[in-house]
This record gives sequence, C-alpha cells and structure tokens, in this order.
Amino acid sequence: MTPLPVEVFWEILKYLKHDHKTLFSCLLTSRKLCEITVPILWNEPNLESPKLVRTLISGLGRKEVKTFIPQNQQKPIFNYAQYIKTVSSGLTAGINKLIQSEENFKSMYFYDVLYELIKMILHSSKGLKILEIDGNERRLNYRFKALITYALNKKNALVSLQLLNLSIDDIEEQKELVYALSNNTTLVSLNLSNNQFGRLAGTTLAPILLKNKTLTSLNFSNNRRELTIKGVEAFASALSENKTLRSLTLSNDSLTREGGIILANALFKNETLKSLDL
Amino acid sequence: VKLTSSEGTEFIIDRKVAEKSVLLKNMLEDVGESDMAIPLPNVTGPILNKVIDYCTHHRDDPFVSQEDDSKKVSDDIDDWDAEFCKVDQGTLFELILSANYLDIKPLLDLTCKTVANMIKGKTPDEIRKTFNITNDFTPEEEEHVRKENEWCEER
Repeated sequence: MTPLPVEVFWEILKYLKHDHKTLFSCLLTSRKLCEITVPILWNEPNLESPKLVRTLISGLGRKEVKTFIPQNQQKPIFNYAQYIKTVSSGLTAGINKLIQSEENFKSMYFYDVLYELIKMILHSSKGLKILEIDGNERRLNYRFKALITYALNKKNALVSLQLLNLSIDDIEEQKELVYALSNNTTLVSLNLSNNQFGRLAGTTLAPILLKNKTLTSLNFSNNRRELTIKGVEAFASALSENKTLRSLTLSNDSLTREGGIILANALFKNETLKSLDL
Repeated sequence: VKLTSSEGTEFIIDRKVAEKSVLLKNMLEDVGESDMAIPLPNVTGPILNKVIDYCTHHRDDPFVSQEDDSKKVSDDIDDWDAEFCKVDQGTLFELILSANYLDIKPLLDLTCKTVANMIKGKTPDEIRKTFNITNDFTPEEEEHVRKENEWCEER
C-alpha cells in the first residue's frame, strides 16, 4: 500500500480539529504524524486545563520557568505557543487550577503568569485571531496595557478582543489603548464587560466609535458605576455618526433616565445598528 | 476527452466531467481540442473508473474554490457519497491519492472526511495499523509528547 503524502494527512486531520482525543492518539503514532498534528491540536487549545498551562509555562524563558515551577526544567519539544490562534478567557481558570494543585506554586504569581503567557503567545503566534483576557478582578496595570496596545497594533492580527474583570479606569489613563482601538483596522468584536470603567466611560468609548471603521460588535455591559451625562452625550453623538456597528450591549450599566433619553435620540439617527441590549 | 490509465486502458468522457479535475482542466485549456489521449500513469483503471463515476454524478455541482477551514465538519456526507465511499481501505487510499494528483478538491474532501471518520476514537496502535506507520519515537520522546499534551484527555 502506498503511504499517504503529508498534505493528505493534513487534509484528513483538519476534520478532527475539535476531537482532541483522536488527535492525541495521532500525536503518539510517529514523529511525522506528530509534527502534522501538533499545529492542528494547538490551534484552539483548551486553556482551562492546568496540565496545558503547565506545558505552556515550561516554554517560557528560563528565569520565568524557574520562578513559577522550579521543579520543571525540561524545555518542551515544540514551541506550542506559535500555533495558538484563540486565547480564551478560560486561561484564567487554568492558571488558578494549577496554582491550587501545586504546592510550590504561589497564588501571588497568578497575574504574572497570565501576563507572561499572553506575552509569549502574542509574540510567537503566527496569526492570533481571538484574544480574551479575564483579569480576575485585578487592575489593568501599565505592563498589561502596553501588551494589549501591542496586540492591537500588530499587523495581521486580532479579530476579536475581550477584556473581562479588569479594573479599567477612565480616559485620562487609557489614552494609548483608546488610540490603538480607534486606529485598529482588523478588530470586528470588542467586549469590555464586567470592568470597572469610571463615570466618564462614555467619553472613553466615543473616539473609538468615531474613528474605527471595522468594529461591528461592542459589548460594554456590567460596568456598574453610574455614567455621567457628559460621557453619555459624547457616546451618543459618536453613535449617531457611526456606520459600522451592528450590535451594541449596554445591559446592567448604570444609565440614568436622562442618559437613556439622550441615547434614544442618537439611535434614531443611526441606520446600521441591528441589535441593542440595554 | 480521452484518458489512459496506468495499464493503458482508454476512457472517453465528456469534457465537462473531465473539467472537475483542475489538473485536466488546465491541461485542456493549454492544448485546446485534441484527439490525443491524456496519459495518467499514476491512476489505475479501476480507480479511474471510480473517479469518473464521482465526477459524472457531481458534474453539475457549482465549483467551490476555497472553503473556510473553520467550518470543516466530518459528518455532512450525503447518501450517494457515503455509498461511493463504501470500498475497501486500499481503494479508498488510492482514491485519495488520485483526487490529490488530479486536483479534484470535493473528492479529496469527501475521501479525507471518510478516513477522518474511520480513525475517530482509535488508539495510536490502531491508527498506525490503518496507515501502515511504524512508531519511530524513542521511549523518552514518546513520554515527553504524551506529557506535554496530556490535557487532551481531560473533559
């Protein structure tokens, strides 16, 4: 029987990309099949798994590996991070589970591990499309902000960005991020729910809606601080001019009665929005 | 259009059927109308027969260029196609090779889907047997690969 050529194996295994169990079997059959399988398997990995997080950590720089998991010194066979195209917010759960199961792993490292892993994936991935970061109620610090700005400015990149449970403050501190979001030309979906955006959140988001021409979906729900009228006005005016947004979610935001009326008036002028959740 | 298989058997088919193969389509465009048979030294008669069956049945299907990889699922095979793929494994692999060589994307997709369904849920050993692969890992390597990818077994 003639052996099948490599590109045919690739064609076959693509159909099994969500069947991790079968792909795992394929990995273990031979070196050649392993090399074909790894990129497919790691395309959209299950980041909630502590075992997977451990493999990723061992691919970090020596210094970081030594700090996080000192007993694990073996470098992984593959540079797995380069194949990842989707980083799900489940990574946060994965790291937390690993911290709970390992004695030497200190919980104070949570945020550092999250940062280092996302940094590694961003730098080595050959086409990250979806990036979801669940900050687990930490504050969006300077390092992280720089990293997200880098992700947004990267050329062939992100289609969807989700920043959850991060304390993000008002515009004064978010200039780079707002600038990057405004000028980005690949992002289609932006989810900023469950953050502690300040009272001026409307002002923060307005320039993005005015300048960005690709974003079709914006989720800004569960930001519990009451929005100022000034902010809502800025946001409403941007919304009335925006021609790309199709879906907007503002549920559970503290919108005053007056703010609601301002927003409703802006929606009259907007012709592209198809779905709205307040 | 005249085709000759590897053992020299001649097949005469409609141009429209032949054009399901991108390889033949390009060839026909290059040489224009001709009575000369096109030799296909990589395809045996019985396999070519099967391939022609497939192309004849699907002759009026629209040409799909590049389908989105993310939509790939292995369980949307229609009855005729499923029946078509009920052949022994050797024949199936020959069909894959021919589809690949003749560049008939829908046939390649169908046969690859069928093989994907065949190996679903199998052990490494069973997959090795299916594809006639020898395990060339050192025990140490195999252990590392297993350890680094153990997460697949969860859930």
